[in-house]
Amino acid sequence: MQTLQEWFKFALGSLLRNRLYALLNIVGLSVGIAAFTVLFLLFIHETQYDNFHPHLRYLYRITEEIKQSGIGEHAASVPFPLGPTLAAEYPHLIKRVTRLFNFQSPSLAVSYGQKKFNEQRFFFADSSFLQLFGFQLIEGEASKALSRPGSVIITPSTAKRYFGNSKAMGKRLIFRDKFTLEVTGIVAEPPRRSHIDFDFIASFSTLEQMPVKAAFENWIWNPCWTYVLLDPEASPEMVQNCFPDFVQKHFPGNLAPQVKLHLQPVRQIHLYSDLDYEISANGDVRYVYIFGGMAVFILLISVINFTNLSTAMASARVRSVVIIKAMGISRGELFYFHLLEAALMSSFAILVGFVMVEIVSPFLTDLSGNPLQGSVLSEKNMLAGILLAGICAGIISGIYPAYYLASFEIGNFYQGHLQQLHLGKRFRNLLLIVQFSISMLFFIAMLVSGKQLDFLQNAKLGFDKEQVVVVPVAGSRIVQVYPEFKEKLQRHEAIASVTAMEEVLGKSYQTHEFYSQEKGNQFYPSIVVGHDFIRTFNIEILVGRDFISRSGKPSSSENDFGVVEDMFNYFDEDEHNAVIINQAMVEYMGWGNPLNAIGKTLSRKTGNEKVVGVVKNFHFSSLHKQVAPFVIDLAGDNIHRTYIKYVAVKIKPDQIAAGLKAIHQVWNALNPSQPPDIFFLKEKLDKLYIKEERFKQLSTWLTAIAVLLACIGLFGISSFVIQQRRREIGIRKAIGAYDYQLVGQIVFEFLATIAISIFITAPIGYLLMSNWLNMFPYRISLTADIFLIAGGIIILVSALAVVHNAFQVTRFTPMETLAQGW
Amino acid sequence: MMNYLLRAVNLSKVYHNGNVQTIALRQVHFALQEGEFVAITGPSGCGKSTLLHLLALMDKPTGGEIYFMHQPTSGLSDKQRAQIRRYHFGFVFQNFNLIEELTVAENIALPLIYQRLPEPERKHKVWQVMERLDVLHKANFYPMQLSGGYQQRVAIARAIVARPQILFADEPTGNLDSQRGLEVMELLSELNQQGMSIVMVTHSQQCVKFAHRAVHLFDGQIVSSVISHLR
Repeated sequence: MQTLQEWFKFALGSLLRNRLYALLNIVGLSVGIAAFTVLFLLFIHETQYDNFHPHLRYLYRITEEIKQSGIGEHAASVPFPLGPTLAAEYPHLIKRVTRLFNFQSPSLAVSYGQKKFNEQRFFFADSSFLQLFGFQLIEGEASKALSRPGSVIITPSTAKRYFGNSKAMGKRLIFRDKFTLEVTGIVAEPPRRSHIDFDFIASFSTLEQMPVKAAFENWIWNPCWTYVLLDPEASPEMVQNCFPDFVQKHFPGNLAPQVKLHLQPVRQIHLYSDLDYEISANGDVRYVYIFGGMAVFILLISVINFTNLSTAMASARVRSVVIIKAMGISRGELFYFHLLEAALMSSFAILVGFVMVEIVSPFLTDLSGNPLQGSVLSEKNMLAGILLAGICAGIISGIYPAYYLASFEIGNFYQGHLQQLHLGKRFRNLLLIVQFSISMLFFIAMLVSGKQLDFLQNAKLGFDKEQVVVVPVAGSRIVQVYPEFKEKLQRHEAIASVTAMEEVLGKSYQTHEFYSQEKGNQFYPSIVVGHDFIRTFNIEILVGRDFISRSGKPSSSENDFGVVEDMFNYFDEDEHNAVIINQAMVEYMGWGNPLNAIGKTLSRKTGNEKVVGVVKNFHFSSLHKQVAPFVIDLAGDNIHRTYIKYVAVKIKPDQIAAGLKAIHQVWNALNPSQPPDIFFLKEKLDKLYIKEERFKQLSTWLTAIAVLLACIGLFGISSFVIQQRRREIGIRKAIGAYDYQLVGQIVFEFLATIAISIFITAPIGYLLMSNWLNMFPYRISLTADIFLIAGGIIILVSALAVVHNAFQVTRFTPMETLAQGW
Repeated sequence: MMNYLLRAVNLSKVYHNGNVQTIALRQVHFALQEGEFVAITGPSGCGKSTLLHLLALMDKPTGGEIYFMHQPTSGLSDKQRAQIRRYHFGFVFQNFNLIEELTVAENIALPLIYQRLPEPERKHKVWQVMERLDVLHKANFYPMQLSGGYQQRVAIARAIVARPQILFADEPTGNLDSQRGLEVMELLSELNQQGMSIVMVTHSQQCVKFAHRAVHLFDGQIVSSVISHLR
């Protein structure tokens, strides 16, 4: 014990004498631990989604695939009657069912007195909602809260927003200006790791008072996210086996052959589901693996760094250690003391690392851009795990320096042969190669992800996304007065054009059933739009014409590009008789030349549509998906209200402020009871690539950390090596070597090692990034400049780390250099 | 005016270690004529090696001036000093100071590499000197694989391979047995007879006998300079 005490006095003195290295060592490991912890938090966050539900093992979502020849949709939602019918017909398999519904609307208007909000997290749910899921009711009775029509449960933050500090229970909210909803429960804020994220859950039975009731028996429209709790005795396969008969029995005859139902485990939704109409943005298991790998790599770099710097520090105390050894401390004791010292240093570094994480944790978001859950300290298991991992890392990284120091023998020291005892030149170089290979890999990932993101955000989509403002109008009075809304807007000089649409172009689309002679009835990706859609988005017409309004002329005389007047005048009413399709649709139908498509039948139940125009392919959804056959259908008066959910307004260049003001003015004039909810199309579309954005951000940070750590390590190891080689350097100086030659030689030797790591990593990076890019149907190509830039910068930064130490050799005369060498 | 190849005037060297000052040399005057073989002797710590290092431009004096070929050296840059060491001086260290990672031939070739001699010429010269010093058969050995005698031969070979004007030798026989020591001294004597000037630090009276002149140092000052009659 006495010896141990003495050792720590000695070690502390040594640390203080080598303050710079000690600081670099602790900071290096702290930064590494902090980065590892953040990645680990992210990993935990992404992999723990939805695990708070009590019956998670038996909890499934039903999804609906409607496809023919690969065209159609795979929706996360199903028709209204599906859930209850399934539960009624298979009570031995399904214990409970709950549907969630939000009109497929981006927001729903709720008011209380003068407080009016467009709520984006508002759902109607069956009364079994609280029994099926693990959401906790704070006030109210779980069994009754959603049983009556006109009931709603809300979260505490929502209650505060509407009612301040007064009691929320029993208060009455107004939904869409018409329907009263009484607060019957306060539900705890949904955990952040929940794919269902809400502020309001209103009782499903409330919908019976609304026109949407008409869809309750509709087996085509599929707007309900439907969850089932299986009987513990039933297996998912048993349920799955019932689906074909069920579909046959209930779905319309023309649709049934195209429909497949699936069971999707709720625990897998966040990481594995990427369906049409997801209830919220999901994560991606591939990124979880990537971040997991990066976490391990960052920890590895830190450990190597710690090893390098500890070895460098150990070299500075060789003489003292040899003397201590001469005084009777055994090799084993020395080894043990050093390990203990490394473990203590790493524990300290872990503490500093945690403080760093606590500081940055409020700014951390997950892959979907949502805040991460709480602090590291709230994750007790993780905390213990990281502490253990950190101390183990410290011990592992302390083994080599401990061995190195313990191996010095007194005799060798006095014979001047110490330099031969450093068995580790190859080992050291290997560590450097590993460290810089990882840094290079991160660098490549950063450059590639940055370029790909840039490509995705700036790719030519085939339509204009700039200058376009989107106004959600679903459920609002604007839908009813749309012609007036449009007309008033168009009168304003800042407005270039106005159109209406069913979904946000470029973000999402619907699938609708069309009949063609070639394919019969089939569901196609499509969008119902208002007049001037083609013009507003500047979509290029290849052949045919734009939709023409009843007057027989384009609705706007200001710009009539793409319109071939009177060429196809047999279409008397485009609202009922015309569709426009894209090139991919022409190919899918086998019509050959786009001109052949003009006049072909592509009819819905509501009309007798024929193709009036073919547009060039454009990206109607994100660049994660290939362009598919697509139909643009003009809304007739009879389907306006159901289909028009957004109004797109194109504002003239340099008149954005005036244009926005005009939209607000016209909206407020026509719909004063509800505030408008406006967004720029470009901003919305950029958010489609949030995962790529997060990957780019993370890889940028990690690259900076990895390169910094590697350079700290390189700084330490170069100092160590130069110290070891002082005698040799002194000899070379004595013989007549110039200082610059020696500096050049030292720098070159290090850079050669780093160049090896670059050459090793470049092909690995190429393979990994090619693999990542394969996730995208539209992607950049991996060009040599990416690897040259990454390699070049790493070489440059490494040179900076080495040059400082290398220049130390110029400070001394040959004799001083020799005298300070071993 | 005498034809001095190397001359030191009022040379002094003080080492500072914190507040402690150690005077290694005090106002030393020294001169070496072309073709001369001078031995510097004296007790341990008297400043012999310090004087040798200063004369060989391997260290910088605290005061005084060193003239090489009548040119003062105090104002020279590190590069110019390295240039003189490279082209005009050779140095034999007491503990050989061979580079462990290089073979015998590579160690010997070092000065020629720094002189940027073309490889064929370099190889030829290295081969010649190895043959002369009887280390040719050890050409591919590493220093650790050699005995002390052979290591000193290699050190001498490295010092003379570029045919320097002055050879500095610091206790060249200090780590050798008497037989090996004698061989080394005979070799130095032979080099001197061929025209190479030599400055040697030694404890050994046997070695002093090989020099033309013995300079005796005591407490950092030259106390005598005796021309050898034995030679």
